[in-house]
Amino acid sequence: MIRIDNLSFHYKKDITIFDNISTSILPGHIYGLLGLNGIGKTTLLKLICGLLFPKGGSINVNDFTPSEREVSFLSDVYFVTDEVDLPNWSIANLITIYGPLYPKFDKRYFNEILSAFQVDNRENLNDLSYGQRKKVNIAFALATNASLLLMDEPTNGLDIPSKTQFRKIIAKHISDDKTIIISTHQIRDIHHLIDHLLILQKHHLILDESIYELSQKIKFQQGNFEDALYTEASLNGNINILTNPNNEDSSFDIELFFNAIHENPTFLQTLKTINTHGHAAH
Amino acid sequence: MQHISPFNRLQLCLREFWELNYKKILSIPLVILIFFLLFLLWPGNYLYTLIFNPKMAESPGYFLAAMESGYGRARVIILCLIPIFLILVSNSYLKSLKTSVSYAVRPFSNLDRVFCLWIYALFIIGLSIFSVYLYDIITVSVFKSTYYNKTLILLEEQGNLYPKFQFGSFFMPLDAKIYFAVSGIILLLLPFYHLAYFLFQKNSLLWSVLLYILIIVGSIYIYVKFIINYYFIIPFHPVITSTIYGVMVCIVLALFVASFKEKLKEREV
Repeated sequence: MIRIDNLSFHYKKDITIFDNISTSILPGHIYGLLGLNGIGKTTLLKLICGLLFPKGGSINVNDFTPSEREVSFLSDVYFVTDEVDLPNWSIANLITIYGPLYPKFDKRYFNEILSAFQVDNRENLNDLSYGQRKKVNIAFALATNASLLLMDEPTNGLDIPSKTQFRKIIAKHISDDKTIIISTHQIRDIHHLIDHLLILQKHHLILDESIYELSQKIKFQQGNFEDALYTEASLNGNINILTNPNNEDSSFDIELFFNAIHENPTFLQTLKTINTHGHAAH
Repeated sequence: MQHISPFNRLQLCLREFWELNYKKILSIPLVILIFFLLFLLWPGNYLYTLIFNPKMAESPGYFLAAMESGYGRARVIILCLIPIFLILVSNSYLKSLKTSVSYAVRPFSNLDRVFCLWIYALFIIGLSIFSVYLYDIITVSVFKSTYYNKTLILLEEQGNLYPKFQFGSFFMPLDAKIYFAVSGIILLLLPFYHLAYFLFQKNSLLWSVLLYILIIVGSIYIYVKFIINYYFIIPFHPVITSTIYGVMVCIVLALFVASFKEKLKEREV
């Protein structure tokens, strides 16, 4: 479990990145970390894995303080960065040298994922394209079986079949003892995977709610509705976010939901007044 | 969950360093050999003259001068390449430690990183010195077997029946003291370089050299002003004095290494 209490952070004193953020991130879920460019998504991931130190407040990950970077902590965390900065070794060397550092590393699982991604495990990382290197990094990250997996734009650079494979692998990988946090702008690549949303805006975590809870409050429907909370025109007509008083099932459109929060400042406040049965609280 | 032992972790850390730098490390003996050959074939040196101006090389005056002092101090200059090797090998590693996310989150302890850097530094110094020693011995042996008797005969003809060849002669290998002195100086500078890499964001090498010079100048000033000028300084036995200085140097070095480890711990990537 990750506990973030009153986290504040800045790179320069006059430019605040986070101001008193608090949340609890539970195992067994895939969290989607969303926000505009430069809002601090990668910074938050770095703070969680101890690459940056909080200026205020605290972070606790499975009873470890990340900034202390204890070996036991680091061996149970893996950070998949957007830019792959793996050394230019053969894949076999990567496994031989870095594999034993992770106590739950599973070489067979690594090879399985690699073959699903159609990457030859006899290759040299130097000879691989950006996308292939990314696949190796993702395969390694998953094979570590780390309790906490942080992924920054994991689908960037992946080809279309690999994105499908990625979704399948991640869906199979998640278990009650694992937490995955994915920060991405390519939300359509993974929106079926995410079961909890974290949205950053203006130095704050403005939304921290599960997709299940949100689906009970709102629904997504095409057509023209006067009482829509948010409407966006598309090629197939208008698509709307509506309250969900009857608990109807609808595919949760994270992109539209994010746009609603971003475009309509009152949307979030309206959302907060809706209870889990889609009724506006009085 | 079975964690890897610290010893195995250090082994992996060393293996990681090796895989990243083995080409550079293995090329050290070759680079030293090239410098040796370059020096031996440098214009004005005996072998160059022998190839391009054999008549001059055969003249007794030139031949004797070349054999007695032609080897010069070039070998010491070649020894000065060792810090460059160390910088070339450790620079990319230090940079990765400082800026790479994947290196910073890899489950190695800071102590593993410090040990790794030092073990390889000692290995590189050892390898370089061994290479210089080997090429030096080979050069001296070849020159001795080829020109020693001829040199003795020429010297006898000049009336020098008991010649003594000094440092700089093709018949004298480098003194062990020089190897120790060069290694000592490098080992004194190394912890400072490691630390400086993390202290200064840009131009770390330049700044570290400047700061090191400043420390040396400051130390000399303090030494001259407060120790040499004090007539009442307690006259210790020279062995005790050198031991005190040795311990002080070791303390300063240990502080540098400890500071470097702390900087590794405190770095943000």
